[in-house]
Amino acid sequence: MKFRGLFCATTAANNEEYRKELKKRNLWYLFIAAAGILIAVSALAAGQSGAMKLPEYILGVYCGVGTGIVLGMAVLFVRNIILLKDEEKLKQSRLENSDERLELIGNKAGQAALKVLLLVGSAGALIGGIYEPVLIRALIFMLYVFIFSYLVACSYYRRRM
Amino acid sequence: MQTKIAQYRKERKITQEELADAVNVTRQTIISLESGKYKASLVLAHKIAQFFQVTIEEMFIFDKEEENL
Repeated sequence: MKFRGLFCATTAANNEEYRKELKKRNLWYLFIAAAGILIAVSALAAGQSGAMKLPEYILGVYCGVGTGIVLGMAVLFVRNIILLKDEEKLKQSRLENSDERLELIGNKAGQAALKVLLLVGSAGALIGGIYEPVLIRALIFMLYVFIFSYLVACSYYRRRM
Repeated sequence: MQTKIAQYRKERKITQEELADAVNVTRQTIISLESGKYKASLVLAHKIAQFFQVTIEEMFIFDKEEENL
């Protein structure tokens, strides 16, 4: 059994393999939820003790991110528990997550969304940069991360394929 | 790409759901394959051909112009 994705994709050939995979995923969800709790609690503690001089808004963002992670993981955890108890739903979920056509649709949708993100992000930063120069720096940083990740991924897949 | 999946399936009285279960895909993928909207991967083509005990060439009709062959 290969473990392909933390949220959706699977290579499980039958329900038994998929069941094992979902149980492993639930353990990961617990770890990620613990990280979310840590982020939220740290932000709350920092806000109350005044140890870090961060604006109220930033503390709110950290708190929100932490809470969001915990809630997201809780939803996925409960969904997996429901799937594990129902053989028919388990099979349906396995087929949907291993189906090559749905995987291709997901990849194409991801590529299209990335193009829109780059286009809108670049346009927004170039226009917004007139009033707030930090936006241009954020754009340049984002483009460097994109180019670097792209080159690393290309090199990795060239060796693998 | 045209396929003979529907023809073989009807001849052997197999439903789309049964075929989908046998080759580990959703019923919607079988529908898309039968209507020619989606091209199967080599692995899926092999699974389908094996399921009907025919060759890939018998099951999938390659359009030489469309595929630049």
